[in-house]
Amino acid sequence: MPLTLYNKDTYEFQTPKSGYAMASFFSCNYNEVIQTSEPFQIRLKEQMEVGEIYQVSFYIKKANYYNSGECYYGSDELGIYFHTDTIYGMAYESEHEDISKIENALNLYVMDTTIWGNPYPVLSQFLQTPDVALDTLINDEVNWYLVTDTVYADKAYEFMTFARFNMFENIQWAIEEDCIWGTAVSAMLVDDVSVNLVNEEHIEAVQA
Amino acid sequence: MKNIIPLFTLFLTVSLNAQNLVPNPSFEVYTGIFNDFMHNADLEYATPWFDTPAYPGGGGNPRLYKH
Repeated sequence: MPLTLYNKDTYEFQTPKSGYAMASFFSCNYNEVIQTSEPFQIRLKEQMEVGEIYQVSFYIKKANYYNSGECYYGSDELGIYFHTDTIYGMAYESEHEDISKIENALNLYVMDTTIWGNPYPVLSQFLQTPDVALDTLINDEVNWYLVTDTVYADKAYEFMTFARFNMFENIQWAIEEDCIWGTAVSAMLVDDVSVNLVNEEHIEAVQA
Repeated sequence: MKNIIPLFTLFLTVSLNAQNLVPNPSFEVYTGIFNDFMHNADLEYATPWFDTPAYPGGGGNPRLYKH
């Protein structure tokens, strides 16, 4: 999962929403049998206050890495999940070897390693419901789309995860006919992520 | 109409709490060595963002991912 930096060189093709950097990742892959994802996470500056409402926003557009000769599918699959649990990552995994031993480790998926005898684990079930989800199919490689929603903090959420939350059959796709099988994934760019406490006046303004 | 939009924008700006709870929200703060041509690096260079295995105990190695 790269962090893509834009430095205004002539061969750069997609620009960040602001600044010089943006995140890119595979939100999901176009394969009914082997389903994968590439989640990423962050710990908030402070816990959400229980009982408060927060405005969650980010910008997204489809990635397309022209200089590698690859192309990608558009999709409507990406969500944000807020949680209080311990988060896991490559660092935790290297330290603990077996990530399942971490107390309260967040588990987004059930994996099945038996399919086709393939040692590469396959996601067979999605366990969490996103607090914020895409409301449209993202297939625009030029214009940023603003995703924004409100989240009620019924717990003191401290961690925020971008991930896939739906099985293949529940995802809307925009197929690129020229893509080869190996690039049949939905790659997205994300920039300018925000989680802001919203006061009552703002809620009334939105509802009006 | 031209007057309404700035007032509405100002209202929203005042109404929202000023603090964004997301650190490094635009991924502008980063460390590490980037591929000079592709201008890419692992997301974990944009600390404190980090990628994660898609499931406990697995997920391949995102650091090896190239595009």
